[in-house]
Amino acid sequence: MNEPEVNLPDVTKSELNEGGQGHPASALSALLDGELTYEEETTVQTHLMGCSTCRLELDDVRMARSWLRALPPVDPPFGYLERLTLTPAHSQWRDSQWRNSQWRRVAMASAGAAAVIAATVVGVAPAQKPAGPATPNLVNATVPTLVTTTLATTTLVTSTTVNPFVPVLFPVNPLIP
Amino acid sequence: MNNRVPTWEEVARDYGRFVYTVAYRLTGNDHDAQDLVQEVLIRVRKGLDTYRPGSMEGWLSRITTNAFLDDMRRRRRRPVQALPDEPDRLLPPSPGADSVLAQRSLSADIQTALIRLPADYRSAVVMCDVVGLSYQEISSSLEVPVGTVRSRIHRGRALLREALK
Repeated sequence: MNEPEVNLPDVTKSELNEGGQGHPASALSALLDGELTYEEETTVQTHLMGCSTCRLELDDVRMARSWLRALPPVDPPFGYLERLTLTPAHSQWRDSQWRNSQWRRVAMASAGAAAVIAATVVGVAPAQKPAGPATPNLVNATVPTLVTTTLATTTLVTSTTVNPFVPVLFPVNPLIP
Repeated sequence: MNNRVPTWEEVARDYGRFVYTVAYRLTGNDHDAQDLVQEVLIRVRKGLDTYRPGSMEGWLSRITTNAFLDDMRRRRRRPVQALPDEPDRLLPPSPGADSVLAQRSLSADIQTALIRLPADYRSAVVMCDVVGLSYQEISSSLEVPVGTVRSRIHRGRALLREALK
């Protein structure tokens, strides 16, 4: 017996051609969600009556839909929302404003200039050493003093003869075993 | 009916858990969810003036989903973390210990399958089944035709079901 010719609505007509199999495919989920027009729903229901493939697919997506809808709310970590309202988003927003602001550019330029000046001064300082007998080996000369004396002698390390480009050896406290 | 536009703090306080849930369902882990919530709240703060009283959940879920999709586009080359963390924080729906454990396990499995969906499908499915938006609302939020929404939701559900068979 031939099935009656159904006048399909536009959307469902195109969906019936999905995959070339003549199945309504995504209209099945729309059917579950009540998102079909009366005409579309009638068409899909008629198709379902004669198509076991679509009935199985409808069962599958119905199952997936019910699982998803049963997912419980998720609690954020304890205190997270309270912290958010107190600081982070505020400060992040302020930070983003700060990053884009003119004041930031001015501050960055000033900081850069200060760094250059500081580097120049520090770089010149070693050349201003007082004239006198050459220090044969600064590090070797200083270390024994530090090791064998008390903390009070650590000021020796910062004396004007120390070359700032030589890594400073931290004094060993003889009181600490 | 109260038509007053809420303050930023009120949105964070009253809808923070909702936004976190949507963010967690989209990202699948706490760390990314927290980052996403912060990004959402920053966008909320910037855009609160344009909010018109209506469905706050709809508005927030649209912001959350778009922020998520923006982030996914930015780091497309980075792998997605596949497993949800700290499943203990999923709220037990009933007091029975066995049913709680079974529910947690199923929820974790669903979450795992969910974050393996392509981001476009995942967004549509979350907006439909987790948030409860209509196809028309999802279409407006994602700026795609209703037919595309319908297709993404169906394929997302079908893939998820297939993954859990």
